[in-house]
Amino acid sequence: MDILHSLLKINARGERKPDFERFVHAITTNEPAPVTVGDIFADIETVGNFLSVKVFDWYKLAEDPDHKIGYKEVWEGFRLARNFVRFCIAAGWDYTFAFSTIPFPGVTVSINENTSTEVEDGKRGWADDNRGPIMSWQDFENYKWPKNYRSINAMSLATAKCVPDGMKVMVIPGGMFEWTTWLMGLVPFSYALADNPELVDAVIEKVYETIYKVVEGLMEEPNIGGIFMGDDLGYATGTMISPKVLREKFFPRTKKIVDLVHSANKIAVLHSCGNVYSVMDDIIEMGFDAKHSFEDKIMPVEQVHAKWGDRIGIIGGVDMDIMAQGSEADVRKRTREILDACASKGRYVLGTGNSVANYIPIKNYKALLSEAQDWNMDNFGRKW
Amino acid sequence: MEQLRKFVKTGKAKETTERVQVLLDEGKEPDAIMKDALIPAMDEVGDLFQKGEYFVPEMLLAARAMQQGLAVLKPRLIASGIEPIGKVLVGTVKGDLHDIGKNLVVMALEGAGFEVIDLGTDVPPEKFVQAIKEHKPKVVGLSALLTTTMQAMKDTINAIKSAGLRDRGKIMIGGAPIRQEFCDEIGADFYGPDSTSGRNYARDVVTGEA
Repeated sequence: MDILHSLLKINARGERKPDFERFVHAITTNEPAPVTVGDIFADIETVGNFLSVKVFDWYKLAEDPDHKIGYKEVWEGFRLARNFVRFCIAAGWDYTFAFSTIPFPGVTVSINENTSTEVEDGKRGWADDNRGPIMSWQDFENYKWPKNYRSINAMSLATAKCVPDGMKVMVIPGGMFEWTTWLMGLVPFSYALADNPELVDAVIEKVYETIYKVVEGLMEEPNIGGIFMGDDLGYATGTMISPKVLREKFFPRTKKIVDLVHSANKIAVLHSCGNVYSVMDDIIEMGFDAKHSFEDKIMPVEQVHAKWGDRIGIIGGVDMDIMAQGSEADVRKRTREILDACASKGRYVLGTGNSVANYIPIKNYKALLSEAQDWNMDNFGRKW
Repeated sequence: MEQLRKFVKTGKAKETTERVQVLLDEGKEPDAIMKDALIPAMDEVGDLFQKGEYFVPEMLLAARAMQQGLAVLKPRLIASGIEPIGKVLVGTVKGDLHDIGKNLVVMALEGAGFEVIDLGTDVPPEKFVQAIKEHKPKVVGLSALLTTTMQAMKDTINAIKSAGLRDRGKIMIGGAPIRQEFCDEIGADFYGPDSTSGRNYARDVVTGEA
């Protein structure tokens, strides 16, 4: 028994005990079972509201690049990680989430007020599509690539010491396409594909090396269950860039990261927004155990599950529009439809269409969780 | 002209500007270069984008080539008294900082010969109202990426109505979470799933077909 884990471990006091193997079983087999729940992450404010605790305002740090991280921030960060664990226990997830966010210098994030009335002081950050810190060879040569892998993974590894028995951590390290286009800016990246393809290749290779090293640093920790790679490849009607370029430049490297995770007997889940269905076979062939993020407008999750649900796990799909704007009854109705269509056939985990975002009313997220328990009672005679 | 269309379509900016200059030197009318080469080329790019054969980079590259070619042509167009085919006002609504989708619409519209007033991102309703008064556009385009910010489209349309400007032109909306039902609900005139649809609708408005 790991002494640190025994000291820091949060006990799951409720009736339901988390069980990571239940999550793995749910995404890797088509055997029907009571549905379990999960998402890539929950926003900080959501965690605070759900647990009725005050949480650390992470975006304050992003708004002030000169802010020095001191003991207070480290302590608050640790408390936040523990609250993530508590949230996941309370919501009935079998894993918790942790961020191994790579601090690529100069990646600009615009912070904007959240327009939802559900969140006080809620904010969201967005990457700048029009510029990035690497737009020329000179930028590339002067760039300070992060190498402090232990620091990058510190919060994920600390979270691994806090999880209750049975729960593991799914770490979010970011994805190849997202980091590359954030470093170059989507627009300059697009121009560089034609004007300076060698620069694009060089940036992609460095991004790959960095993510690989970060993920490698997580693989020996037994309470890390795997990675939840966030890599938005699509928009409403297609992939951002052609499948050909994705296959040439991104997917082979992403596959190596997935292989690394599998070689440590852990799992790899892809969160990718937008219409990525032209590359769904590639996503499966890269070896991802499950795919997350679905939009009714693009393809309702039932259709995705019917088409690919025998080859890859499907997570989530209760559309964000319903989660954010619908009533509790709307959420319950849509959740029930999805569970009847997907969970009854296995290889499915219930969740939202994107994440437990701070603009989702807590009552709606609770309605989703409650409907899952009702569905389990109706179909299996038990809540979970 | 065929070669110029090909340069725009394949995003070759330098070759596009050189070819425009050659055609002008050969005595081609600026209006003809615009109508027979640049606009058809961007039309084709938009169609390829809509069909899923072109993606964001191809669209951006073609638009850059078009804009650089247009920069050579513009002084001659102005000197010849050639007017844009219409004026469109666009912006991403309040609370939303995303602009790539809106920019693709701007490129498609400019490529079709429109004058576009781009208000940028996070545009409050009153700024739209002010700009409509000032520029008198035929079409107003509202963009939003988020399920939360799309509500600001309704606020914007209500502000336009309250200012008594709703019947001055058409309102088209677009963005990832938008659907036809939402368009109907908030009283917009048109929902376009992509930039090409927006361009086509704006054209229909100026030709009286919408």
